[in-house]
Amino acid sequence: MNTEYLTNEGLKVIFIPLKKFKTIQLSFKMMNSFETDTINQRSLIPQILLAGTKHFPNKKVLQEQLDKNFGMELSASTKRIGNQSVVSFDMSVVSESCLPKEEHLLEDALALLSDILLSPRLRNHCFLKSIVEEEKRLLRDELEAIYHDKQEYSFELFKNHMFSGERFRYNPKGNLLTLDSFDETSLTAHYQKMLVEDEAELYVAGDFDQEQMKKLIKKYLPLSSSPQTGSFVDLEKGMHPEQFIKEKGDVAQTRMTMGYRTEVHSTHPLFTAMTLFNILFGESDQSKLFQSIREKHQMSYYVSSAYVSSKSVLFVFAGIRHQEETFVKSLIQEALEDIIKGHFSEEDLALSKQMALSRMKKSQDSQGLIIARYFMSYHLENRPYDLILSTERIQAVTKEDVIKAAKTLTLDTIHVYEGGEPFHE
Amino acid sequence: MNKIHIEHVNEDFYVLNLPSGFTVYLYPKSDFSKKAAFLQVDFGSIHKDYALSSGNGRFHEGIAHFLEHMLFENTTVDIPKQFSSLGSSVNAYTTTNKTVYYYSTAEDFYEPLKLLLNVVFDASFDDLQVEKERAIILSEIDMYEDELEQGLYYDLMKSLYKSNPIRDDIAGTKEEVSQITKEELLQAYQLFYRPENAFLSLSGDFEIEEILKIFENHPFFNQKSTREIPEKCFQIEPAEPVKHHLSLSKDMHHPLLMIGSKLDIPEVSLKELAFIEFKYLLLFDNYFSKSSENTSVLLKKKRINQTFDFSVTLEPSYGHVILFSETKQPEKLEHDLKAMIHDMKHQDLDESRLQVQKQKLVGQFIQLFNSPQDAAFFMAEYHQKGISIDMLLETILHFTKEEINALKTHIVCQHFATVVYHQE
Repeated sequence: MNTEYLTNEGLKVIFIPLKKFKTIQLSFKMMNSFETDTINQRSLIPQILLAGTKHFPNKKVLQEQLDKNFGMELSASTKRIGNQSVVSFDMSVVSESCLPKEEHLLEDALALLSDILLSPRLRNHCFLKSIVEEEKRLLRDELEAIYHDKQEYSFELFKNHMFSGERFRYNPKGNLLTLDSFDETSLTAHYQKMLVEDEAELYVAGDFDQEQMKKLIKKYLPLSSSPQTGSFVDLEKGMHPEQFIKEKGDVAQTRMTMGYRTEVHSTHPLFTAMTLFNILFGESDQSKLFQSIREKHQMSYYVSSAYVSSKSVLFVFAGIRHQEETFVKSLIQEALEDIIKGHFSEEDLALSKQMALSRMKKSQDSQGLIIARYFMSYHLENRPYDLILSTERIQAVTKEDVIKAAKTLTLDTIHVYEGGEPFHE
Repeated sequence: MNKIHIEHVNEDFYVLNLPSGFTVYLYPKSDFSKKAAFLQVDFGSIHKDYALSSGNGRFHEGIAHFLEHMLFENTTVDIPKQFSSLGSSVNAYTTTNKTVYYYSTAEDFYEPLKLLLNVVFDASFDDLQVEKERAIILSEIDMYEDELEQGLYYDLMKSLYKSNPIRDDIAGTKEEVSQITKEELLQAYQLFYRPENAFLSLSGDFEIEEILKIFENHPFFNQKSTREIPEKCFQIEPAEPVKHHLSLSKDMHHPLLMIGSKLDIPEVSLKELAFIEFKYLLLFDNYFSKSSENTSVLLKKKRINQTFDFSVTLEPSYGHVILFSETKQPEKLEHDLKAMIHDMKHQDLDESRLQVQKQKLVGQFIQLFNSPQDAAFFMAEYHQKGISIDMLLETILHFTKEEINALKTHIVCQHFATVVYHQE
């Protein structure tokens, strides 16, 4: 069973005892509402903090500290879930019981996390210009490199059309257009604001002594937390019924993306039914899309669907043969119509349920996924993750529920990215 | 069946050697939900040429990958669907030197295992299915054409190697794949899909007894084969690269650079070769890892970004070291890297860094056991070379600075080749 408590300063701590792993995973989360004018700050600041602390003033010595502590792992990421921006500092530490002689890895880990969060390398109360400029350069490179991944890039292009007036269009990793408008002074100020105004939580999963961990947290993480702002579900909703967009670039394989809107979000009564619909429709090699488009018609090497409940949308991705988009689109629509008309068997539904249950059980083998499930459960339903309850919900879904969920889908944007000279105006 | 205890992580794993030459590795872990089976066949994209007493032969490029696709195609039943209906999911991949078929499940482990053994060792092909898979593979090749880093890698391999098939794309070229026939597929299948050329690695919550039962009465795995085993053939490569510099323009935002050199392959056992590979790894890690002085310098000079990385490969028929980065200054980066490799040859290895590297490796080995399937596959791969995990760790911990320094004589600056992709 998990344990949760608030520290004296008000930080929420969640302990998830797990015996079977050889490491202890720590995840420190900082959350605030996702705003278009704070994307770059929230993406850059965690990386600046990892680039130098008071005791480990540059990346080289920080990395050495990790290496020598038996390959301790540390990373930071910035994600968006619904209308929330979630900054995560994740550490993985080898359990002391796995080591031949006594070590103080956990204390070293907490001390390092504390150093990173609370004692950044400063000069005149400000981040170093050299560090800030380097992290800006690295972020710029990373954002520009999206262009090199044709799959990711075609999705970026697609988002610009389907979500033209919505925040979802923006990449939570950063915005190239405004990257230069931040300097060390404004970023330092924003960091201090985050420490005060963000909602903060610490998750610890693994085999550890809870009393010892409480003492270490008290000693090293005297952090406070603010109440939640923003929601984990994004209800912003534009509409472009069946808008068709074709763009050209240097690609050998034509990439097609279709976006459907639904009212079914993460806490909607039909959420589980929609999850099962997605598996049946396009999320496995047994799905209707894969069977029709790749196996029966050989129109594609890959085709799959993805349901993003925090935005109430469902995407279909396909790499298709050149100039076959009209045919492939009709096959995709046909597969959806078939499900709406109930042309699937109880056996199909049972298989989808089994896949969902199997995935849930398998996720119990990853500390990272266990933390992610607890995190979402707390923020959507205000209670710890419950494997039994989630299992019951899946088992309770009927064929009619899946049809009902499928009926809520309306096709918004169809986007095709294919070879050829780009249009210049 | 042998039990092997791994002192360093306090875990037990088992090896079952069958009369046919097939080896089964078992790593039971009752507290994990996921059960997984990996069946490796030692037949990959580099196994193009072979010799039999009746004469030599050569396959088209992409034959191993084509076979991988074919095994999931059967005229009477839908194999992935059969796995799914048993609650498991199945997949496969082909690399340069192996083809791996695997499934995982949180439900019954044994029925899918029987199915997997049948799929891999009792296949049949028909012409219609060959054509269907050919169409799918051709569109897969289209997709790979869009992957820049992969293209860069193959361009470097073509710059380094004269004739070794490591130069070829794993999936083959469209021209070669178009010429593969059902007969050729069948021939490759019969020559290489044999129990003595394969092994199985199992992990998760299962009963050893149940696995033994599956193999006990299986005639295929208990008979010693009398058929001739084909020899895999390779030509000796010169130490120099084919081409020192290649620069190509591509549709992209910033250039990519890859620099590499073939490595000397000593004529030693697979076991020794694996240890030497780790020494090379520690050597390059000492000078080019994230915590190296070289990395700090290159970051500061804006030559590299976070994509900077290196890799070392040492196999009986090929071996190379590669360094890679996205860069806005490809010429300067090439110059700096070559200078650093030159300096590395003349500087003494940093002993304190070597100790830290060893600590890191020990930690990484322990962390591997968070994933029983990865741990089992790793243990199996090294066991095939005659190495246990304890032996591997002990050997690595006893590597000396001098032993690693000694490898530097094999690094020749003039043998490096560079490939740059730059903007149009």
